[in-house]
Amino acid sequence: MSERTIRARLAEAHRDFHLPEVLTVRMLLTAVGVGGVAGMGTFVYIQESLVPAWYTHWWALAVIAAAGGFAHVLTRNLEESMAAALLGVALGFAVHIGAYVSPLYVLDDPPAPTEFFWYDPQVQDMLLANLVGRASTTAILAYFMAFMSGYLLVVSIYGYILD
Amino acid sequence: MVPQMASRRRVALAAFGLLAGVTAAPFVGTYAGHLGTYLARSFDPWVADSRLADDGSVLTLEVGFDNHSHVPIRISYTRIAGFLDGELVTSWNGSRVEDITIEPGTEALATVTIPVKPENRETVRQSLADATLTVSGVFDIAVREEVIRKTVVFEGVGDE
Repeated sequence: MSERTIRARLAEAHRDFHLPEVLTVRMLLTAVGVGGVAGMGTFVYIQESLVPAWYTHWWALAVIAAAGGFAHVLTRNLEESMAAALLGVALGFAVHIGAYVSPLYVLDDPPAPTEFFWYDPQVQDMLLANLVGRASTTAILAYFMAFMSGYLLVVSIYGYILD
Repeated sequence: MVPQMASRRRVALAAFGLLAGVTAAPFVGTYAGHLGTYLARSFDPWVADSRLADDGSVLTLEVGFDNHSHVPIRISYTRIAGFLDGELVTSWNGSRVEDITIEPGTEALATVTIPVKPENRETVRQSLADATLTVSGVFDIAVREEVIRKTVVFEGVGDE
């Protein structure tokens, strides 16, 4: 392949690259929205002992899948929805991890002198890696499977039935 | 066609808002519960006392551990790192046991006996007198059966 051909192909690829078109406010808002909902659902999913008995983990998985589906419903086209889904799935996991480890930082400054409400930097440092690991390993598989299943299901329905 | 699409989008947004609402409600409750379980899983070691043998060969530290949590914390192994390394004998609350479980709301006292190398004895003696000795302790702590190895630095250890 000559240098001229390579240059021509690179120029063509550059022309076809639509990143600025995908990075729209709508896509970003959709990603933040579905990420927030999916992250909250994931957090609830691994805390089954803290929710009412009727709210089983199936409900939480349904929420995560629905959030994945909305990544396509709320965007204009497939390109935008893929970007929203990928960004949203990452944001959702970050929301979940953040919520799980946040007590270490929320409880670091007691409102009044007390023995019971603080995590000093030493303790934060000690527990952080442990908690991040626990939050990740207990949810990662179910989270990604539920989110992407919901997303791909809706994409298929839109592509083959509604359009 | 365009009004139909706008209408469909409004319905989608409303449905998403509903989903966010029904997700946020259990999330807030769960988060409050989660916060509650963390209210006091804190761990607080401090040097309660320090003594140096007359000939400077042995430094004895008493390290206190508070369990501010509502779950038992087990401390299974302790050693001192840094320039004050070496074999040492540890007892917990006066008993020669390898580990101890500290019940919620209670404390335990570890007696750590550290042999001091001859070349360090004068430094240790002077640092203790000035209350500027820094000691690094390595602890294996089990919180809910998850063992965490952690180095804790005690600064300003002294005879005061």
